[in-house]
Amino acid sequence: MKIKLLPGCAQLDSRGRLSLRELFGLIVAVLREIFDESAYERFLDRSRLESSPNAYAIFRQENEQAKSRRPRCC
Amino acid sequence: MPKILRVLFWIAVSALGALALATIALHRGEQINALWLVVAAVATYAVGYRFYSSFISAKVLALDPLRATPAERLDNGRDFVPTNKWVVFGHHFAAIAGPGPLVGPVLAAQFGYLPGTLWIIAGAVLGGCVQDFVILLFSVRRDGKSLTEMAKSEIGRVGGVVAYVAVLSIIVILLGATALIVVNALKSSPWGTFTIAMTMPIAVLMGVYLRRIRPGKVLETSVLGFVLVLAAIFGGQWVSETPSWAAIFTLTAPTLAILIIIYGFAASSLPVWLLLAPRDYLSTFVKLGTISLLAVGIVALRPSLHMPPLTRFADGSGPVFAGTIFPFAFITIACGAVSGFHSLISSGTTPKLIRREPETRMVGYGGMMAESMVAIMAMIAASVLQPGVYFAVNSPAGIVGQAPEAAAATISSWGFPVTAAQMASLAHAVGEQTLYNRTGGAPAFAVGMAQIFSNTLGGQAVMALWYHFAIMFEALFILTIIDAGTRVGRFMLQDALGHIWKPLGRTSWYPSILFTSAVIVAAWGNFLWQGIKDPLGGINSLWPLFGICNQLLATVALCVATAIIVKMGRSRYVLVTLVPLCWLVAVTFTASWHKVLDPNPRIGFLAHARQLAAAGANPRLIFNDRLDAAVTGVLVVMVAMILIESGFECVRVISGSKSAATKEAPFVMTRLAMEEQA
Repeated sequence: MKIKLLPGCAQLDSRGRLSLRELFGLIVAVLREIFDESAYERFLDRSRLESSPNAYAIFRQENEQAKSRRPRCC
Repeated sequence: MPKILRVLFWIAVSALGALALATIALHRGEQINALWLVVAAVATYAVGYRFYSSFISAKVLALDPLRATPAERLDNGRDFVPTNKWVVFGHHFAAIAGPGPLVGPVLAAQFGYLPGTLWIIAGAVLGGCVQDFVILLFSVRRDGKSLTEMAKSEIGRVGGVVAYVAVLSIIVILLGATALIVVNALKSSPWGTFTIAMTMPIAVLMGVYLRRIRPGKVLETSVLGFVLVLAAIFGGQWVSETPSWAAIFTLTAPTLAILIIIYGFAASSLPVWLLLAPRDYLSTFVKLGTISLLAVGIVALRPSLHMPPLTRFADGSGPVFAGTIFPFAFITIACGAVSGFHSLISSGTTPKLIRREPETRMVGYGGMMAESMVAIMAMIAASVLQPGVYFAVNSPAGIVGQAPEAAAATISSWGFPVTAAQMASLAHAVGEQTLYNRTGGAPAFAVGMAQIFSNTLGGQAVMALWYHFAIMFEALFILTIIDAGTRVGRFMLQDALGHIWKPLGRTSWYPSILFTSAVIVAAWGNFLWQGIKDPLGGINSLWPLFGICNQLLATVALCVATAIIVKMGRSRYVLVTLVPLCWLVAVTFTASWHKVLDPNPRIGFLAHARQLAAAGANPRLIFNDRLDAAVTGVLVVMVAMILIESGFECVRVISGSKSAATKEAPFVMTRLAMEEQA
């Protein structure tokens, strides 16, 4: 049995094992989240927009407002 | 795995950890391999995670897999998003890993590798990981509330105000101290200064590419930026070898300080998205890559530690910073063992991404373990250096003298032989004019890292490239923290001032932006200026002050956690947070007492001010010492107030005079468990 964790992300089998390919997928998913690529995709889904310089500018504006209030650790 | 095999496995891991700890603690007189530190840390973390965090999950916090988290209940695709636990783990780790776990252990290595290593391992397993874990869970159960909000609602108004002041103070002092590290790393270094200067046009290029050519493709853009930064490092070598260009990029400490202050103000008050956001991504990319590379380098090379386990400076006479192991080793290494700042991340973005309550264990406890491992690697990077070299790089001119021969003679007289010729040769190998008096930890870390890397890839011929790669990594990283921290401080100030006069609270009103940016930049700029003018090197005053602030914030976080555990009716398990809390109170209050009142002018701010006054020194230097003493005193008094208030609250609940009610969000059954089963 496969357990789906996240769309576009790795899957675990019923014994909790990850194949190398799935591990790579997981690392890419982590990087995409850290680098806001997933957030941009969610924004496009939510706003029903196609990716474009204009859409990205709106996303950045929205994202920056929240991001600039987050403390960055030492 | 059958139970008997599991039991045998954990007995083997524990035995291996005990053996490694015994080896690093009991070896005297001969060098040990760095891998012992790695094995001791990994085995202890594994046992701590498997058993201690499991106990906390089951008995203290009673994690509930059926309880819906705010990410599920309030899912809006923006702030609240149920996210895969590994993705949250990576995100959380990237947010908590800063320069602290790299710099603190390097500075604390002046005591030898043993005190710092033991504190990093024990402090993380019993204190730091616990703090991050419980605060994360408590925030998850309160719809992602911040530490300040939780302090206010669970302890009282004083708690909220103290948490706010502690956070703002720590941001200001952090920015001053880390800016000083950059200044000390780049002063008189045309190669390093050129590389960092080049990150600005590179970031703008990245911004244009990201916005116009490939919208949203941040990873791809970061790889491109990274390649350009590597080219800039090569270009830096050419600049440093070309006299006319080298003269342009050879800057003094005051000039660099002024440039960084102007940069901080511009970053906070001008709409410079095109520069800042891509630099932020680039910095994160380089950070994650370098930490991974360092881990691979240490495991592949398995270097020997040249630093002894304990040095003569355990008596408090250290040149890097003055003070005995207790309490100073414990405030010097904050991030990597226990860091109050993490409680802000654990009650910031992370709780809004957690899908299921049990995942807080891996993200909170496990994330801090990973950060602690970074601190162990920094300790190794510092300890692979010859001790004489380590002290020559990290000792201020005020202690060892300006002239290379005099400095080498002083350091050799401490029992750590080094010669001026050896230092000149090392400086030449890393492409610097000199490596003396490079206080702050970053250059020593860069030399250690360059040694490890150059022995793994490229040999001695590329040591200069590795050194400047390490300097670029640290400076880029810290400058990102300076611009982000200045903006966070500005927003916090605007929020507070908005209660006094509404327009000042409007974050889009330009006069308010300029005013509050100027206040925050002036605050940390003052500490930076104080640092570069300090004859003792600045780090001697600023890093302990930063450590005290950070640990006081951890005290506030553990205080909030303890009060909540008592209110949850789980007083019998209160030692889980109460023990690290008591330890931190002992450490921070003792350190504060020493920093304010110690009669030794190298330790006590007031004694130093008296010494300067007696010598007829610049009144500004005397004022700086008194200001440092006042900041420390105010923070200690405020934290004492929160301790007393939460203590009374706990006693009222335990004695039954107040009902044990916490301010958790109501229970809602999760849908995710059923979806997963289906």
